[in-house]
Amino acid sequence: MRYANFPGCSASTTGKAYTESFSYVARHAGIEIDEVPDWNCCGASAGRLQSDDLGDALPARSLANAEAAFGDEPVLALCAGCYSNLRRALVHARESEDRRRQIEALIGQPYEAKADVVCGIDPFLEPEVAQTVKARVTQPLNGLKVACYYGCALVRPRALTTFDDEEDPQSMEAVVKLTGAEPVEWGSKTECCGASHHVSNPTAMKPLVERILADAIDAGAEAIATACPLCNMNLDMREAEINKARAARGEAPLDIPVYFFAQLLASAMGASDAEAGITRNFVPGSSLLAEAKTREVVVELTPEQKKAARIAAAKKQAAARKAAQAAAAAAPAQGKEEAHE
Amino acid sequence: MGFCNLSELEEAASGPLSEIAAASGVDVKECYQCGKCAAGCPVAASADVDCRGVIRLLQIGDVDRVLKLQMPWLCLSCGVCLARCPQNIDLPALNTAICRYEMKRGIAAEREGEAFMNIFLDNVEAKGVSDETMLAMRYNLQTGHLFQDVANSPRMLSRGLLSGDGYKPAGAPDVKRMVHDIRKGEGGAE
Repeated sequence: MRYANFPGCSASTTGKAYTESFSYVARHAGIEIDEVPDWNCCGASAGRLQSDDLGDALPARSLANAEAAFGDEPVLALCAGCYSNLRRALVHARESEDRRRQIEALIGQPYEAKADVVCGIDPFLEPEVAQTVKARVTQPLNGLKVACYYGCALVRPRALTTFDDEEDPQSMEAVVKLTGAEPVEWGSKTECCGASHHVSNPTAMKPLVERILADAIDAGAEAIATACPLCNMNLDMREAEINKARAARGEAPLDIPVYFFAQLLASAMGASDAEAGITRNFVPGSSLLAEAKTREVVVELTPEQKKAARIAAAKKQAAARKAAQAAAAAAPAQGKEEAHE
Repeated sequence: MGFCNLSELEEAASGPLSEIAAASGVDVKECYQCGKCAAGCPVAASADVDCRGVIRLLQIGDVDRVLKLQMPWLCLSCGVCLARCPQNIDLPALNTAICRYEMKRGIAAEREGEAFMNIFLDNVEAKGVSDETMLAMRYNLQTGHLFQDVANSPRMLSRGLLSGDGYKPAGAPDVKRMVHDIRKGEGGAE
């Protein structure tokens, strides 16, 4: 499958580890990547706050460039904020012919809204890609308990995204499972991380991150997986600040590494920590993955397999009992013979 | 608790209220105050008035008070309220409309929110992309939060997360013109 990648402004800065790990996995899983030519900033939260026109025009210009170069090839946006903005422009252009024409006038170029917009998780939901990844997992993260964190922009509002559920999506879990890790069920997977409000309103945003980290740990997770550079930075980089505040309050630290889901895939597929960008993580992430790889694999059986195993065990037991009875029957006879002599 | 006639009260504040309603597509009378929005809102605990309260104030026509609230600026547009609202009321759109109404008149209730938006858009207008380092520096200088995230800068630098690859779109002048025109209210669309 080929995608027109929209890198977004964080791809070479705060999202560098996401770019690196995703590229590694894409190279080894047969995902082909073009780059949207002459792309520009999607506007983040500022464009759509300023006006509907700016909110649509900034992402639409890049979508139009992608369309001119690659036709209906899906546009891939690794950042959840970019994904949300690109999808908003796409949906607006698709739902009204008037709006599509207005958008063309705003950006000064044709835009037919032919190409779909997908997020970083989507390519791995294609069965062939999932199979390739699974076959390439040479260093499985045996039973690593992972809390998959989606944040808000990937899943809401329903009118813009194409996710399986607004509050309990499962697609990232399906992808993370390919590594041999075990996703946990938890309640904060689609809670907002505070996004860029950590700049304009830091005091009100700290509790959001703290609750997400605490919920993941309460659910038994050893690690958190994300699919957005901003979510990842807010959880990973701010964990230390939150623990400093907790220490001042006499509370135990919330100690949990945060990875891009692509870092887990890359590492399980044999990437070095540098190749998977894990050396860039704020909360050290190397030793947990190395340890998980040495764990004994506990094979989870299906109910049918469990029943078959029970029957096989019972048969074996019965056979052993029969053999023992036969031996016991033979033994006293032999004993008598011996006594006669 | 007194009795109030919503229709009469709404007329009294019809100017600003109808402008905000039209911009957001929200009819505040549709809300029956069940509170599912505020129950799921991640910022309700730190807000001066929660999102249900914002709608209530608009219902009783107290627009002046709404225009002084921090809540519309705190809203993250995370969409939990809309996902759970039995009346499908688009609260993020309502909050955005309130912020825009204030900014248009130079009365933004939270100067940090407006400053962040403007500095971000200045950046995009100038370069076609957002330079996060420049954004943080200019924001801290302009708002007087000089030391915010300063402790994180060396941590980001040592992980190679600050420098970037220096990408600038070839069509940056086109982006500049487009952003400039829309911000000045001269966009191509009516």
